[in-house]
Amino acid sequence: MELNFNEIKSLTDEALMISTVKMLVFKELKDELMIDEKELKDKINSKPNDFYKPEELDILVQDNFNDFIKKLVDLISEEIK
Amino acid sequence: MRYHIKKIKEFGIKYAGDVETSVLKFLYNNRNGLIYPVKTIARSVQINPDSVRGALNRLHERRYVKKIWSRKDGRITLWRLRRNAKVYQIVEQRIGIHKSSSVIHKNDYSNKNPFIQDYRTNIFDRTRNEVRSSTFKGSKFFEPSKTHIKKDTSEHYIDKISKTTIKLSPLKTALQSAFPHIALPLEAGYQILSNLDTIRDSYNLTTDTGSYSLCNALNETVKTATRLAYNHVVNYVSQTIGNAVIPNIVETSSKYLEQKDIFKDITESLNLDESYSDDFKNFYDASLSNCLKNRINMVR
Repeated sequence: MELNFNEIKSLTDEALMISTVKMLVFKELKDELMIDEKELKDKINSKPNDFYKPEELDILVQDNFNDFIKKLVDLISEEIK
Repeated sequence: MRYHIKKIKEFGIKYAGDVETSVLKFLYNNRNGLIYPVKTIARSVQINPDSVRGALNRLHERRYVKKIWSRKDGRITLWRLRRNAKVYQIVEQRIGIHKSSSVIHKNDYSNKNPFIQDYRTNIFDRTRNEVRSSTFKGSKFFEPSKTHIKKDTSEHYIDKISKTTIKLSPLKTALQSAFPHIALPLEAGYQILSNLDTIRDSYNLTTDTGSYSLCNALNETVKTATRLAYNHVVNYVSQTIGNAVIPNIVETSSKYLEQKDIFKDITESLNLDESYSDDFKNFYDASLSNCLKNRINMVR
C-alpha cells in the first residue's frame, strides 16, 4: 500500500472538517431531542463521511452552510423518530 | 409667476454615503478571502437590502468591490472588497482608519470635515484610475519610477499590518477578530471551516518568534500529528496494511491533537461547553478511521 505524507495530511484535514460538522449536528440534535448521548453519538458516527461533506458553495456562503447543517439535523432526527 | 426653486436634496446624498461607508466598513473588516451575498451584508449592517444593493453597485462602478455571480443560483450576487493595496488605502481613509499619517496623506484639515475628506478621496480615486488606464494604453508620458515605488511601499505596509495583528493573537482571537459576529455556534463552525486555510497560511509566516507559543497554531499541530501518523504507516509498510493498523494511527493522531488542546480550542471557538471536547475527540477518531478505511479500500 502506498500512502504518502500529503495524502495523510489531507486525510487529517478532512477528518477535522467532518468532525467539526458532526459536532455541530450533535449539538443541534442534543438540544432538539431528549435522547441518550451515547446512542446519538453512535447514530451520527454510523453515517459515512460523505454524508457530512459540505459542498464548495456551502463553505463559501454562510446561509448555505446553515441550510446544510439544518438539512443534516432534520435527516437524522427523522430517522431517530 | 413663481419658478420652482431646485433644492439640493442633502439628506439623500448624505444617506447614500452613509450606506456606502457602512458597507465598505463591513467588507473591509471581513476582507479575508470570503464573499458575501447582499442579504448577509444587509443583515450585519442593519440597512435594508435594496439600499445595500444600490451602494454595492455604485462601489462596483468605482471599482472598489468585486461582484461574483453565484454558481448555484444565478440570481444571487456575492461581493467582496477588491484585493488591491490602493483600494485598501482609499477604503481605510473613507471609513476613517488612520494608520500612519506619513504613509497616507499629510493634510491636517481633512480630519475636520468628513464630507470634504469623502469628496477628496473620490477625486483621488478617479485620478488614480485615469493614471492607470493611460499607462496601460502605453502613452508616451509613462513614468514608471514614482508610481512603482508608491505601490510597493503601500502594499508592503498593509501586508505587514495584517501579519502582525494575526501574529500577536492566538488562534481563537484571530478567528474572533476576523469575524466579530461570532455568536451562534453554527456561524462559528462555518467560519472555522471556511478559514482553516487562511489561518494556516498566517501561521506559516510566523515561525521565528519565540515569545508566543506558536506550537498551538493549528498548522504546526496538524503537521506534527500527520507526521506521527505517517511514521506509523511507514513502520507498518513491511506488513500488510489493513484495517488492523488504523486504530493505532488514529490513536496517535488524536492523542497528539488532544495534547495540543486543539479539540478544546475548537469547542471553545464554537462557544460550547468544555465537556464537548471529549465528544469532538470521539467524532474525530471516527471520521479519521473512516477516511483511512476509504483510502485503503480505494488502493486495493
